[in-house]
Amino acid sequence: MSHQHEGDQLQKSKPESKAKSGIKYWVDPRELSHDPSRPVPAVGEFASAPTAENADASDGHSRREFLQIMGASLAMVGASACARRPIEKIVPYLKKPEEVTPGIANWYASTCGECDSGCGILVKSREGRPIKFEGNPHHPTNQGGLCARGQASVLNLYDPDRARTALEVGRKGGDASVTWEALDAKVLAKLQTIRANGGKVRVLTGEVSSPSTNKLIAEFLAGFSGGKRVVYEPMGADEVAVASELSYGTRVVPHYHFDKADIVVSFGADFLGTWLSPVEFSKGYSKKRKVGVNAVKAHGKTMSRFVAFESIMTLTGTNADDRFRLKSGDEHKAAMALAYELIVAQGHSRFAGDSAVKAALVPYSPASIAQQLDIPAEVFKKTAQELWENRGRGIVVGGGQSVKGDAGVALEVAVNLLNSALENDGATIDGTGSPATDRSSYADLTKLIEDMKAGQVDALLIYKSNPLFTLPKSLGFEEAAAKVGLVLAFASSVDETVTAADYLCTTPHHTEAWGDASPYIGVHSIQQPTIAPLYQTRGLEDSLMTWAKQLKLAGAITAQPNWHEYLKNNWKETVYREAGGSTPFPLFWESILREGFSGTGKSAGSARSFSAGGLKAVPSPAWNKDKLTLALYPKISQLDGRVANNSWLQELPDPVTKITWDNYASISAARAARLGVEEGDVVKVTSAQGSIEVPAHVQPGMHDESVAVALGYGRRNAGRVGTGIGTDAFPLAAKGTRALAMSGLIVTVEKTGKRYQLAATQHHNNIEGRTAVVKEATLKEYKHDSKAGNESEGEPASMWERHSYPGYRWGMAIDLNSCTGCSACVIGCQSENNIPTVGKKMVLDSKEMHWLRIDRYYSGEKVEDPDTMHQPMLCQHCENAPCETVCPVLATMHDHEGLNQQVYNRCVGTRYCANNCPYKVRRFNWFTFTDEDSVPAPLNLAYNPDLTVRTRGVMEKCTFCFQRIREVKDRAKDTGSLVHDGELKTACQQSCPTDAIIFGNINDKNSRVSQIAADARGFTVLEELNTRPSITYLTKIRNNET
Amino acid sequence: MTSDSENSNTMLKILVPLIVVLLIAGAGLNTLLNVGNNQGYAPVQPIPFSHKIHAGANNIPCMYCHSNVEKSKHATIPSMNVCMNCHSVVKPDSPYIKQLKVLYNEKKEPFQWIQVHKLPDFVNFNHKRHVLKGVDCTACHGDVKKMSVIRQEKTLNMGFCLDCHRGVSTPDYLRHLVQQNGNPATGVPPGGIAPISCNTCHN
Repeated sequence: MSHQHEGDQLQKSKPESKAKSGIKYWVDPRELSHDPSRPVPAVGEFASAPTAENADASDGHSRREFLQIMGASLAMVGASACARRPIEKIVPYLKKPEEVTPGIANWYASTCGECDSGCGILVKSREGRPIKFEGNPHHPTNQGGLCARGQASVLNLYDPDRARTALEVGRKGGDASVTWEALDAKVLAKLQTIRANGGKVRVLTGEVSSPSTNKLIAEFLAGFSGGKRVVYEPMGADEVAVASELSYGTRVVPHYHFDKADIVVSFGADFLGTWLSPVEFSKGYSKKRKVGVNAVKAHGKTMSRFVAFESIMTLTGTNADDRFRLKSGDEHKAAMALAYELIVAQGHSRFAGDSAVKAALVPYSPASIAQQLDIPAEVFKKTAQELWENRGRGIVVGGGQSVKGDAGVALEVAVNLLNSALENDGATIDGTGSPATDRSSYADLTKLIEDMKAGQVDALLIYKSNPLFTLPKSLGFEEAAAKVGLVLAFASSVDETVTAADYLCTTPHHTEAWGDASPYIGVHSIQQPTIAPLYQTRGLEDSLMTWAKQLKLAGAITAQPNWHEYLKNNWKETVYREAGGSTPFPLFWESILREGFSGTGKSAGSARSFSAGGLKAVPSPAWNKDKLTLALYPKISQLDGRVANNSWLQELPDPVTKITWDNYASISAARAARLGVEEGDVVKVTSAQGSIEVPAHVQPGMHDESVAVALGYGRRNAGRVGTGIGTDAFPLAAKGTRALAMSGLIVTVEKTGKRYQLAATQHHNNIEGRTAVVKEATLKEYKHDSKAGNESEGEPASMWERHSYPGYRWGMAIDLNSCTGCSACVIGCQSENNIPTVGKKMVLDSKEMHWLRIDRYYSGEKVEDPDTMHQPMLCQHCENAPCETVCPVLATMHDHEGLNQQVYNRCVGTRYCANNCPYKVRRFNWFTFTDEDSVPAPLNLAYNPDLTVRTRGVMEKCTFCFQRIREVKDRAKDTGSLVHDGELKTACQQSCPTDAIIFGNINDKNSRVSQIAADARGFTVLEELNTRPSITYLTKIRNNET
Repeated sequence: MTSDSENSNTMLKILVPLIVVLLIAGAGLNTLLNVGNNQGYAPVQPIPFSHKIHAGANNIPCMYCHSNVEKSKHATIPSMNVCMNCHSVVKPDSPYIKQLKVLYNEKKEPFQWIQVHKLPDFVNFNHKRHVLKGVDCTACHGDVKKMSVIRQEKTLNMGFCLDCHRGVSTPDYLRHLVQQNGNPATGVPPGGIAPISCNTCHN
């Protein structure tokens, strides 16, 4: 065991993990190189030396000073212990609200407002405070799952850096509070003049999936002779909409049904991570990936197949059965090569005789371009065959952030051709199922900037958009904005754009306001306030209504007294009517507030007719052979940087790189060797637009001629957490004709000689080369033998007497075949269990506190093309728990329900338990991460009052959400029954978008968890240690051998 | 003589410091053992609310005011409108009731009572489960009906809880009520009457 290594000391390459099946697992490319001069850094579990960054005591206290301070405070604590306890007050309600019972949570159905996917959420509210967001299990979009950002959204509500009143910014970043009355008077004076003079008003927003808000904005703008709405979303799917217009004549983003797809081919689309509606897609995708006992009926031993072609290693790519590396910018060519193979070479589909299509495809025959693409021609042949065999039951997707720009439009057109040829359009892809309006448009944006520059815009209202950060300088938005008479920013805090506005019209958080969403046709979702606004905020809608009334505009905007009534009325006129209107509206409305949504989302859809004209309209980008190309991409945790001030998300390890608190330039190992760059070397990435300096990260699976840098970092004005974290990569983006070019950009990368420490968790808590941590098999092997890859030497002999579990015994099953690594569970756990964030320096010291981590393993001999495995790792609640036997004060105990309990107030912090835990899942509070400095008010309101907030010196770990068990048992006792199967869900299980985690009573042989755990694929981690964990993992099955 | 007095001197030299040391140690130990023990705590409240008058003389049931005791883990202190249910007509001339009315009607501020029965934050005590089992309020709170100033009667420390759960100090009426003598399925040890698993009480 090599735990006591100093933080930056290096250890020679560990013995490689080798599972029984002969698959070699590794976490770092250096493990494969066997080069003693490039060792893998070993970060011990108890790294205690100061990190290089703070060794110079730049943070204020040297180590010695710190010890002195600690000594003094200890003495103070000793003295105060004898004093009488402090007086605490009980303040009752003046008049208790009927629905509030202290100690009992209320749940409200609402809609997540973090992005425009429109996932249904359930807001858990305690004593009037929202404390946790969970996916609404009945909502057709997300079906119970909720992504990491959605769950972390509760922290944004209590963000101490939110603006508390409207502000007079005066274009100079001013922060003088103004009352709404004063602001209204000033704004109205200007708006009246503009209206009288027929001036031009523009509303620039991000994508807003609320039909009512969109309608209201339109009504407001209708009151001005020159009113126009511009929608621009930096992470939006412009290219899908533009290509849809070119191919099918309608500007829509279709609704994808991954739950109907037996084969999925993706060209760079990160549909499980960041593209469009990842939770919905993960749900659908995973339904087709379940095998064995876990399978949906009629599946058994079949599963869908997923082939990915991508330039950067996305979360989605790590889940592919077969993944092929593409150079950023070549996605279109690969898609065309596949289309050539399908339509021309194999002569399939109704386009086989279409000369226009053929002509467009001819330059892309795999035989001629395979070498340039660096992908064997057989791959296209085989994929085309498989797609054709599964026509109407497959999905081809492409695009997303990593293929952004004109190349993205070209790619989407090719993808449309493929889907139409394969008859997927209308079957698995519903082009009629998405609201046609208000999608992001780059063309509108560039027109707006031109107009602004020409002094043609008199008032600009900016909502859910941060153009001063998300647009490259070359677009000149800032200079253009200076020429606009009145700039109003609608945001919740002072961001980059606000500093250039006249006023900040401070908006509330989505749990403080009414709203709605219609992610696609047939689903309407309501957003209801669950807490009175914390500050003097007013939503965009109420502001517009107030002004409209004063301006005496026409329509519902002035007829309705306020936004709530407007929304209700809009629902009455649209959703209620659609629903048939058989029940009286008040009852219907009440049911909507209870359920959270209306509609099933089960639209039939029909095939659209593909026009080959689009194929010619968008030229393919040129080959950039031998030149490095850049792909700018969003991380799951940050997207475009809108949530930069959320510490949970900053500290969430990236699912692929496992790096926290930073962005970096990902390059392949071969490229790194050629550049002479090591992990952590700062490199200068220069595009035609500008250059940035970022640390390099050597990423397996990257194309040798591509570089990837995450967007959303380097915020200049995000707040105390997010400002200055990482490097802003937006300046590298370039203008395009149909979209902002964010990928395929030609760049150079140079070494600067500087070094930078990246806080990656992938080397922490490693299991020291022990075997059989993860297991896998191919589908072929699995069909032949259900136990394939899961060979076991049988139960080891034991010197322990078995425990008895007479009542319940709690256990968990985790299906590695379903887990995509999306990390929603990590944040779900953090929110449920009051887990602190510790900051980058502490992560560098392996002091992160996540109870649940997702280990990512690579396998295969080739560093450039690894197979990837994600494994959620949490306390295994062992029957023979090694931690329990070494605790000198019995602070960790086994209970009669199989739980390994941790009693915080008894723990004295010896850390023996963590040392003895083979799974490395125990977390020690080296400092008080929960004091008022670390968790400034009102962030403390987000705590779950059902469990202790731990302080320094205490060990903690996963409890299987004991407070949730207690709550459900309490409810069962009220009715005198036992806890029913499925009634009890842990926080991680609840949040999982792929239902990979199942929890329940394993004493009940009929419970779902027992049945799944009994599957032939079931294994326990480190079985040979005879710890007898309560968590059973199911082997991963790869469908890559047909 | 000299040797005797020397002897007694020696004895004194040993005994006196020994006694002093023992006394100090005893006092220290006593203090340590009672850290966090607030038995007998009876602070002065913002108004001299008397349980003796309300619960005793007037026989108002506990749950009229502490209405959530059967629903929640918190018994809850009544909101001010519950006080006003009666006191809008009862004893309106009392200076304290006047004070109450000023707070309720004009200032719109509730009283700030001083908490008497307080468990540490790492302890989860569920009133509902105990009351629904039939545990009398007096088992932990003492005979409140006789207290004009509310006072912490029991130690409310871990031993106090465990003694009852284990069946050591359990009142007889409870023993009869709880007919489960050592039910391992619920974590109740042989001879005990309620679970004693760590996380039964600890968060």
